Parts: sequence; structure tokens; C-alpha cells
Amino acid sequence: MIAEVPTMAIDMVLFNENTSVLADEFFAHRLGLVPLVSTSVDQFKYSRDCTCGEYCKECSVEFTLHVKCTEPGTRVVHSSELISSNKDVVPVVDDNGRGVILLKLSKGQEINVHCVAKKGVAKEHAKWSPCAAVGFEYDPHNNLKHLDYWFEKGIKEEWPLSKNAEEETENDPSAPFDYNAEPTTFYFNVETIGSLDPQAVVIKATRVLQEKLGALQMALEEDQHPDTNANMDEADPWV
Amino acid sequence: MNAPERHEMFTLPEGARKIDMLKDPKMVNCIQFNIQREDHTLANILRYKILQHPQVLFAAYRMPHPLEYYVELKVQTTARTTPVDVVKEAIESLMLEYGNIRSAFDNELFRMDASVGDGPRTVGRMGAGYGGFGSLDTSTAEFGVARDMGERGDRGDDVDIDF
Repeated sequence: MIAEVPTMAIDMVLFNENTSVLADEFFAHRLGLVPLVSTSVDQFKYSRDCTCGEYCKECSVEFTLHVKCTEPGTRVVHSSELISSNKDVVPVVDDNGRGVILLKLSKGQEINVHCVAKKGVAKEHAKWSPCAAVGFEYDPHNNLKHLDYWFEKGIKEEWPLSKNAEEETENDPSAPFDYNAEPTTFYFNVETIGSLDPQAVVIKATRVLQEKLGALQMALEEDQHPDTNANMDEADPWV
Repeated sequence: MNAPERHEMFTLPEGARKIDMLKDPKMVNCIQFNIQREDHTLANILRYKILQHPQVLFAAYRMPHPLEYYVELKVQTTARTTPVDVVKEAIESLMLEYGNIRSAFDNELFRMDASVGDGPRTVGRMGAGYGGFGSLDTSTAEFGVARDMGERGDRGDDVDIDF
């Protein structure tokens, strides 16, 4: 869920004008980390798989940002001011509707950039991760004794049970220990940065795993008949 | 300057084989699978599943080097089956399992939507004791799982998901 669920993120930035206090590479990095709504990410190809030369509509979304501060005081630039070329891929905004702060401009300073957002996975760069935090636990009552709690007076008093403990019952302490027991229920906590719903991330994660397994399955099937392809080429002299 | 491209860790180079099988020279009925461009994500779940197979004598995996993007998975079985068949079975069973998780999760989302109404989706506690749309929803849940198994040729023997 953290590393291999694809999302969209800004990957290339062209600076037409940057008279702000932030260096180009610094600001480009900030732009890369801006969360973009990625619910339509499945419609895009990976840029490296696309037939286009550099980038095109099928593998990227373009953004422009042009702000100049003309008034005295500080002009705060938010991510919502990025103008997208695709209405489905826009910066994630919070309740105040402005998104994250990109930079601040004082009088006379100007920023004018052209950005290209691409599809990617967080294995390549963390900016593509849809998740902020993912955690899981099992066996909240420690029935399996996988944990050895440190305590001074008593485990029960010093170690509060997690909320998930309500889902299971504690084993009878006087019963003999079942050393064959295996964990069967896992509780996941999924927190996202807004580019995808946690629900969508879970569903997409199962798909990603299935795709990986599918690729392996196909490779194994091919390996079972390693000569099939070679023979076909040789058997056809008219090619 | 000579750092490898980051995407090399998950894109298979052209002409490269996804999986190589090497016979172990010392162990009987043992094969080492070198799986290109995969990591612990895949190898760990595979090893876990393979170890549950009754005919498996040995199964383990390792990543020889963090900058060489492949994992080595070694499987030894009894003479009744072959490591390749066991790996195939494990893959099938895992595919089925993820399908089941997804349909169960989908059904649960549907049930939450029905009970919450038009409001925002809130992830609440939905244990077995949840009695909202009891009879109606358990039937759809069962149907979802059963249909999924039917598609993949009724292999419900090792489904151990507890939702």
C-alpha cells in the first residue's frame, strides 16, 4: 500500500521565471510533493511505457502556475493555484479550499512555472505514495504470546488494550497454551494523504499483488515450455 | 552520476527472463527460483504460503544485494510433488485469497454505505456482531465470495481469511 499503489505526482518542472527567495531545485522538489487527486490514475500510462517522445495526454497532466506579487506585503501561494490541464487530476485541497502553501512572495517577486505530472509508484520516489501511515496488528490480547511485555506491577494495569481488542476474546488464562495457534485476523490502519481514499488504496493494493503474482505465474508457464517460442520461429521459414 | 535509474528496480529489462530456475546441486528435489525485479513484497508472501504446503521440506528466500533487484527463493519438496508445482499452487492460492479479501472488503464498504446513508464514509467498528442489515448483507457477502471461487475453479480448501 505504501510503495506500489500508483498515483500522480509532478515529475518535471520548467521554470520560466523565478524571482522568489526559493531556489529552483528547492521549489521543484516542493512541487513534486504536492498531493494530486489520483482517482483517475488507472486511465494513465506510465511515461516509460507510452509511445510518445517525452510526455503526452495519455501519460501526463500539465500544470501551470503564474503568480506575481504587486502589492506591498506577503503574497502566499497555495497549491490550489496550480492550473491543471485535466479536470480529474487537480491538487488536493483541504476544508479551506486552498491546499498546501507552496511559497511566499513579497512585492515584485514572481513565479512562473510549467509542471508535468506523471504516474508513478513510491518505489521510485516517495512523492508517489498515496499513504501517510499504514500500520497493522494482530492478536490484541496477546493470546499467542508473541510479545513478552515488560512490567513492574502487572501487565493488565500497565499496558492498555487497543481498540481492536473488542473484536476478539481473551483466552482463559488457566487453559493450557495452544502452541499450534496461528494469527488469523489482522487489523490494518490506513491513512492517506488525500490523493486516494484509504478504501481505494486497500482495493488497489490487492490488485497490485495479484498482478505481481499473475506476472510470475505467466513466467512460470512459459518456462514450462521454454522451446515453444524458439521452435515457432524456426518452423516458419517464410518469415 | 553512475547511480542506477530508480525505475530499474521494478521494470524488467527487455529480453530478460522474469524467473530463472536452478536445480540445487546438493539437495534432492530442490529448486532455486531467481525472480527478477521483485522484492520482499512478493517473496515473503510466497514463502509464507509455500511453507503451509504439507509436502514442502524447505522454503526460504533472500535478497542477495539491495542494488541487485532480484530475490532468490529456494524450495525443496518431498518426491510426491515438485517445487515448481508447489510454487504454482501457492501463486494460485494467493491470487484467490486476494480476490476474496477484495470482494469481502467491497461488500463491507457497500454495507457501510447502506447504513451510513449519504454522509461521508466513516471507517467504524464493524465486527461480527453488527446487526444493521444482517440477513440481507450476509447473503450478498457469501455470494460474492462464492462467485469468486467459482471463477477460479472451486479451490476453497485453504481459504483462511477471517473478516
